[in-house]
Amino acid sequence: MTQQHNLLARRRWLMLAGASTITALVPTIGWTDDEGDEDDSGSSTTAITPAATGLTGKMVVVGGGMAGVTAAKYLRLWGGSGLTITLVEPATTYVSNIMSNLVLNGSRTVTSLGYTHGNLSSKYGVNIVRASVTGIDKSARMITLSDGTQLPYDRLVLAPGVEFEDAYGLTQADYETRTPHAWRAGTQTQLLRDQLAAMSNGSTFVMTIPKAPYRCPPGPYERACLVADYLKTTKGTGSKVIVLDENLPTDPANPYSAIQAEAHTFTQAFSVIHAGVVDYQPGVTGIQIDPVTKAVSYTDRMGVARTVSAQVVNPIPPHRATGSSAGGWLTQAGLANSTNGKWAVVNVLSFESTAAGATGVHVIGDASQCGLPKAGHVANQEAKICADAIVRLLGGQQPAPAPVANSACYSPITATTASWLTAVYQYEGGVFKVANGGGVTAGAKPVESSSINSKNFQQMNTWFNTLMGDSFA
Amino acid sequence: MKNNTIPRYRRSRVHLWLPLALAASLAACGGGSSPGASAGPTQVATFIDSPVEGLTFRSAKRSGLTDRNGNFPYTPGETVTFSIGNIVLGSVKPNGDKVTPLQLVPGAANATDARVTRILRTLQSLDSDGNLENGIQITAWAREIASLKTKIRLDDNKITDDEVKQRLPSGDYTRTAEDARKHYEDHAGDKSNGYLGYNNSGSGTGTPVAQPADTTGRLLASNCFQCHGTLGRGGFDNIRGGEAGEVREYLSKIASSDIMAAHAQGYTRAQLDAIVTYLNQP
Repeated sequence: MTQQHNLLARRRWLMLAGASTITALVPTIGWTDDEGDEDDSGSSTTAITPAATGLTGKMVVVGGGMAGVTAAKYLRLWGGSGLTITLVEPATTYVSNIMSNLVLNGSRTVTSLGYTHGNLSSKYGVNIVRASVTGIDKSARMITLSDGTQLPYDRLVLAPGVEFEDAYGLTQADYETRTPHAWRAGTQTQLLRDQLAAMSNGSTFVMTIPKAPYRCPPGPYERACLVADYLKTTKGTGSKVIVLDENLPTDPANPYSAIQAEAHTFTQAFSVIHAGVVDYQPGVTGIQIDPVTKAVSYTDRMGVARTVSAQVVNPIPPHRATGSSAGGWLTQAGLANSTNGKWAVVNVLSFESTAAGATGVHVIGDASQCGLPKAGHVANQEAKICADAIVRLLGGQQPAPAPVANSACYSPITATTASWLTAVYQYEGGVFKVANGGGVTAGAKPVESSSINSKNFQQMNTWFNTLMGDSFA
Repeated sequence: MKNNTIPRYRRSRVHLWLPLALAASLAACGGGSSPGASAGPTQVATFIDSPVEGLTFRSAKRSGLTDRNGNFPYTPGETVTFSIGNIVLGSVKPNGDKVTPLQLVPGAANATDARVTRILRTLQSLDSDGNLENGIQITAWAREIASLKTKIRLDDNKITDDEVKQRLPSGDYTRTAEDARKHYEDHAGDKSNGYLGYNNSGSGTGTPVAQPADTTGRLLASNCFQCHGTLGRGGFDNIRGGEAGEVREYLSKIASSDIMAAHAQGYTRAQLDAIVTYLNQP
């Protein structure tokens, strides 16, 4: 992600170009050990034989995050060796958002969260193209890349993720240099970590949570817990973590009913474990942040205007699908077709866009509006549903009539303890619905762990490593 | 983009050898000679807690990584030091076809020795797929993280657990001392893989694993892979090839007390049957 990294990537290209006439192939596996800044996730060096399908066709996947890499891998595994699969992604390293809150308390480094696309090319024969998309011609079935080249497709899978809006009086430059959102892991995560490390006892950390939908529903509450835990254990008990949540309580008598995921866990965390440090304020409006003085003003849910003086401010701004802003490539292609123009609406049987003339264009992951939470684990399963549907469609069949999706995650509450959340989603009446008790959707809810403990924290590492392996290795 | 008409997959498998071969030769230049080259009569031993893959072995004459069977070559009489990045486990003069963590700590009577326990917890915490029963796999990533701080020796009495934890990717052990010792005691007597020889040149080129032939239930079963590995081969438990039916035991457990129970109860009985049938195929 750094300048140096790009140079190394370029050098790799040149070395390969000198050694071979094939320029679209980037097996990076041989270099990763030497550079010492990347991870090829998982130990599984064993190859899996692709299914013998006899299918052919040009598959183009845009986006090298959780959704995109899983789609590319499973298109190969399930679609067979006859498919041409190309992944378009400008960044050489994906930094996992999952676990990135643990960088903030010093438990992990950003480097340790880096994953490359080396396995995709070396194990699954996926062509990696280092560019971004600038345009889509749906009728010609062709995309245009930032380097000016055009890439034809039979099936296009878009997994572009989200971009963050200018909000609360802040610009993208403020996010990068002064008031990081750190909601896409990378340099902003390190900046926020450095700002936290420099905090003094008795000072105030303010974070904001946008209205749903946003990426990783439990994530902001998890972050509030980890920051509170870090401040009280390393700086003293005088510090405050003020959480300004734009979401409204569903029960006016219970402020914690505004919490978007794991309400039981985070109620316990805020009111008991981190009581006296976390000040949780739901239903706030009119947030304004001064990036220089770090003064934060807002209106609380009783209608009272307030201003707090913070040492560190961490706004999580509203998001939208990458390319969905005015003039963006997703918008221009007519694919940002949700009512508010921020998301790509899809048919959840195939994740194919519902936009006019978009046959063959699928949108998965955080950019899609599909009724599932925006989260990496979920995106992995969306990618599999999409890949399976594409393979069936290429073979002249229809997508599976009743796919099932799932979500699971562990949330650290302190530096050594965690909770978990899981849900299975059944397809019913055209949408995904949470199911409990033998696949029953009536009255069903996601299940969260009844306790917060260190065993969950240990299991979290197994979950994370395995999820990353299923996606990147 | 010029070669879109040629199936890329087959081609890439051929060309994969090129960077791998280059990397191997670079490694040889950088540290020690390659195994077997002018290093005298060679024997092969297995490093066993479970067999450990990806452990660095180093002697005066050679160095490398233990292979997927946990094997490494040595010349009788020479001292071999084992490490993971800057975490040095200890040294031993191998004798026979096995080395265990206990042998790395001079004077340690058994696994309750704090130094031995530290080695066991470190190894088991670094297993990349969390499934000790398929061996312990140490990744390049783990070696890299362990290289970020200064060198420590786990066979040294003065080392503390905190110093070790700082060198682990998650900042902590993921195995308790008790669990780690139990695993060691259960496996210390395991048979050596030494008869398979030392072969670390073919990383990634082992016999490819086949997918189940009947694809009924495949998409459903893929919901398991985020936590049990692609094709159900890893993670919390291996569920490919006969184990998958155990999922039904979770239907009667309390959902909020067990994530597997919570998850299993989201499926219909027919869906679980389809998943199990798919995963139980050879």
